[in-house]
Amino acid sequence: MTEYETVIGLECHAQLLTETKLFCGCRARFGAPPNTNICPVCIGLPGALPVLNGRAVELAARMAFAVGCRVNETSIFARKNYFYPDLPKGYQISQYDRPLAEDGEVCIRLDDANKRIRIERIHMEEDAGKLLHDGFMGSSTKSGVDLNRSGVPLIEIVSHPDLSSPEEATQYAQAVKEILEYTEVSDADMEKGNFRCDGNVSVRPVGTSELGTKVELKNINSFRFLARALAYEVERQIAACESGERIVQETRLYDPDADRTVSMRSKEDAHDYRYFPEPDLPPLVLEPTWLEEQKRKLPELPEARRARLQSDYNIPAYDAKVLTSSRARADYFEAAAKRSKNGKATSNWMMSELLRKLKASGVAIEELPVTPEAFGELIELVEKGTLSGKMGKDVFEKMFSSGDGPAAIVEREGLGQISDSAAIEELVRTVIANNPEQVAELKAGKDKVIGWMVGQIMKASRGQANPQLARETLVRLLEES
Amino acid sequence: MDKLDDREVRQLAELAHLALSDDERASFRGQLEAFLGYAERIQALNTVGVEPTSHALLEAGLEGGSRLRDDRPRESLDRKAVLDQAPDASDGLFKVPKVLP
Repeated sequence: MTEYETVIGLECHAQLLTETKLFCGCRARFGAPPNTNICPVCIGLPGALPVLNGRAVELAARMAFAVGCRVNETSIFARKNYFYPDLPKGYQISQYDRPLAEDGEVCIRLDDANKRIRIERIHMEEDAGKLLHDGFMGSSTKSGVDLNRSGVPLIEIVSHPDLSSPEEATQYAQAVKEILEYTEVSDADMEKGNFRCDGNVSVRPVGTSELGTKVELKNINSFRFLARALAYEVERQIAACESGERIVQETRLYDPDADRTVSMRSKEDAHDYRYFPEPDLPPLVLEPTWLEEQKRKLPELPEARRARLQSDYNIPAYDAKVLTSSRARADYFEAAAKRSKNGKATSNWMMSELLRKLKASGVAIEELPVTPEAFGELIELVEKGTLSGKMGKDVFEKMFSSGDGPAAIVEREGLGQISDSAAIEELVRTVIANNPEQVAELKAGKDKVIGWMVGQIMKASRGQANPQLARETLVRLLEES
Repeated sequence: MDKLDDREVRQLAELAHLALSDDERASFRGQLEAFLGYAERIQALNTVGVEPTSHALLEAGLEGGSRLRDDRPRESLDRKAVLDQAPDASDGLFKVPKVLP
């Protein structure tokens, strides 16, 4: 039986985090009532002229530098011509033969090694509008068009066909998403459609170097669907090869309900986009000094930060990965660790208490009422022994619900572990005096009773006695008596 | 000698969503060939050392960087005013013949 290998390339689209659209001053944000963010430019009224958004160029260049691309000093906008009801001008302004940036790479982590996935190009383009198919009267014969999205700035990140499995493709897409979020180029929110992927898939017998006929999978908007769509498509193609069928170059759509891909159009009647340079926009010329500055301003990237957290704070690789899964999370950790002066303990508290609380409450770390400084202070109190671990957790709950700092809560609730030996001794004496029977058993050699006695001391102190000190004091007093 | 055959004109018309009669196709074919002939003549010119003048802004000597817009929102159009001019609109949406999702 022939063995096959999979060849996948991805095209990822990300919406840039700008206030306004790519070529006009309409707001670009998601969620406005339909057709309220539209103007002559983005709905394609005759005579309207596009003017490029400088911020969009800055964000696109930032992403290009983040993945090691060369940013071209001159790039050219082009018209991609096709008819669809969500495209009011009859063309999309994109970039074609001279894109903004070329030749970068993204590193993905496989089980035993790292793999570099080459980026072919990154170009800027505008998004189309949105079609609505139901939810209104007459939806059986009509579709609705909302043009709020029309003209929103996107970058398209095109990889080389370096991905050898659906798992690698998913890893790569996640890495790209992470870099977009980290550099604040895009919120890459898949649910809002701000990050979506198209995949080019082909299979070939192992050992051959010629690429098989590729099939394009369109508009996949979750990582789960990406993996499933690619896996289905790979199996379909291998089965076709095995049965001697010819694979047709075509575009297919993934149907998540049926978990299969269906043919959308074959390349024979595919669109001929008739690209040509956009006459309404001059070539985009970027100064070398400006480009240098953008490169310099690049924040620390997730890979580098992971390595640094591991060595600076002496935490395990797994913790570093979890803590750097978003920039906000990593910032929070570093600020808290700086305050607590204990990286390992801070990592433990974040990995257990904090993340659990975030998950249970559905609160994002950016909205957390507990500041990283207060969180670090709490950890310090526990590490110093002022609070027991158990009390620390209670105080954390109260910090979360009240927004108060740990010191204020400890003060208000009269908490604080009793480590004062005189106070403990008094408690122990009372417990000894009140439980003569158990003391007798202890003296007769029933060592197990000691745990029960310590429990009584803890109870008498409302949980605030330092248990270690309580035990030591108990043993000492019993021996003395 | 023909720069365009009828099949290509048919294809172009299809891409442009134009329904052309046989006569129209023949007529447009002649006109398109004239355009192409003109482009050929221009392409034959020696332009070595000639600065591109494809954009007014380049001509004006805007060197060292493009003119870009600040990312500041501006007032959008009034929805009702826009939708009132559409052939079909309701529920705040433009309405078009059903497109399969």
